[in-house]
Amino acid sequence: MSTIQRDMSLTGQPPKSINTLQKLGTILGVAGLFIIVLAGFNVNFPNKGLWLSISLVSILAGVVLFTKGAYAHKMEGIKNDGVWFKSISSRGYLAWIAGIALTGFYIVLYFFAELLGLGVDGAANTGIVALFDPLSELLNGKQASQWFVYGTLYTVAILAFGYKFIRKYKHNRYEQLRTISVMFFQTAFAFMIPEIMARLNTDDFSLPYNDLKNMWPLNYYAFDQWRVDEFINAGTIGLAFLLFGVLSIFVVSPILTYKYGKRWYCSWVCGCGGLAETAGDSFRHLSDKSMSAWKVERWVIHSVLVFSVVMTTAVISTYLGYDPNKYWLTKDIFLIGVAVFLGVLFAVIWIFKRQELAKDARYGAIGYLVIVLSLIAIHYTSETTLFLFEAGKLRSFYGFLIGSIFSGVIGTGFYPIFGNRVWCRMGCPMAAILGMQQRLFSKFRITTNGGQCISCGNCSTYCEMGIDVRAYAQKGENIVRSSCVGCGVCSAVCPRGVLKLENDSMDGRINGNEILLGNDVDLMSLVNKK
Amino acid sequence: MRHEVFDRWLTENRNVDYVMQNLKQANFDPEFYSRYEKEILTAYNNY
Repeated sequence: MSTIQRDMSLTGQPPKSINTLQKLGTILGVAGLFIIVLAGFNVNFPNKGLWLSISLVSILAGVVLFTKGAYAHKMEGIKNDGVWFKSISSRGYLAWIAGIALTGFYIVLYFFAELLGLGVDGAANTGIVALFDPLSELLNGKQASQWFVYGTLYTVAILAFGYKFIRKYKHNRYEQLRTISVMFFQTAFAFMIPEIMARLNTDDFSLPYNDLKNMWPLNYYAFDQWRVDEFINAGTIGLAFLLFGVLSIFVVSPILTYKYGKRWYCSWVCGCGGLAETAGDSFRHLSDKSMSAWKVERWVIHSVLVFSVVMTTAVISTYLGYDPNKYWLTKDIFLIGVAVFLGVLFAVIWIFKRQELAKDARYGAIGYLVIVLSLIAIHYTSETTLFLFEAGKLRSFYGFLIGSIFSGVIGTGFYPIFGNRVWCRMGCPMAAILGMQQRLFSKFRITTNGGQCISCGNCSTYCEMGIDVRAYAQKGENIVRSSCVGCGVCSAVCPRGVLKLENDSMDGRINGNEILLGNDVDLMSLVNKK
Repeated sequence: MRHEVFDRWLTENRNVDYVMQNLKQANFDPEFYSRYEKEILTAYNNY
């Protein structure tokens, strides 16, 4: 310890300012970002490859140095010192600057990419996009786009802040392995594999940009006509990818969610989750824990799911209808199939799990089923109006509102103000599906040793999904919540080791009444036995 | 240590030898943590 502590607290004081190594790390990291900003102002870097490398390495090295400064001299353990006092993590000035900058970047990225330097109509790139040209040409052989810039920065962020997360939680093997998993899936599946596979594209053979782990409904354009057509035209491998996409929704995901809960995707594989857990770790305690937030959450997320299902069904049935001979499926069979599938799914849940649904959930489910089935019936019988709205308009509205604004601008731009999992909690349709299965039909739970709980509240504070974990722990009750992504941070920050994420038999999984607090021993009879 | 398991052992009046043999059932460490039940049992037996 470099400073003498003059109080008698066992935990020590939160640092009053950053130390030398952290200052060096900040200088290096910001310098790396500054190179990118300069490129944005069309400063001419003669050797773009060199300057891009310097920039990205500086950002990575800056975060690594900062991490060493923050955690290297400390013992393993819970490391949330001063979280409610530091400006960046307590909605202070730095947090607002970061939030506004991130939101601005997302708006420009999605809607004004030319400002980033994207070359339109075949023109060469300028600005920031041009700086990334060398890396793009190295990986996929073509000029960079704004999405390539985004993908590279996203991957760098997950790698850099993943390292920081691993050092912060070095007392917890689960967190370390989970973070390595997320870093791997982002680097390999979301970035390297699709970029390098793009090299295989020629004039005759082209595969769409395919992040294998990005499945429908998170990937809302997974079954758009242009994508399906490209898969079909790309021979066996294209069809294999398309089939894998469908299987991952109906086979792989349900099996893994049954065995492990939704954490297999949300905390170990998903790219959104990956950024949230690594770069967003400093903001997890900002999630809204109130009852009203939960009430909003359960309605909004399922509404987005219904919107997603309606939109995708409309889009697919439209292009199946245009070219009946081109596809294996016809429009009528597809629509009937969707209606039957949703009806059967509803019936199964209603028959077996009706008692687990709250009253308003039951009414909501019936209401939404009626709406979706009516829309399918209208589209089946009438040729003119498609789902009351034109499928194309529905698709672009979804892409704008949910894909860009909700998921990107609000979901990530608002990290420093609203927490790191706003999209996951309020909007992700995949989270809605996996969450429903986790709550109704999965082996996953967080077991609590209730008697050991000291009610410190760390678990609830650091739950990024806004679950009141402490309430369950105090009662010794298992936590089985559809919103729980299984990040394991509640367990990692519990000073008493009260919480354990595990998979076990479904019998008695939800155990509100049979709780164990050590109060069932009659002490007087025990004493009198002697 | 898992409270459920220990509560059951206390109710069943198990002795220390039984507990040390079956410590694995009571493990409450998070997933992927190293297990030390074998070493604990060896140390206990050699004491």
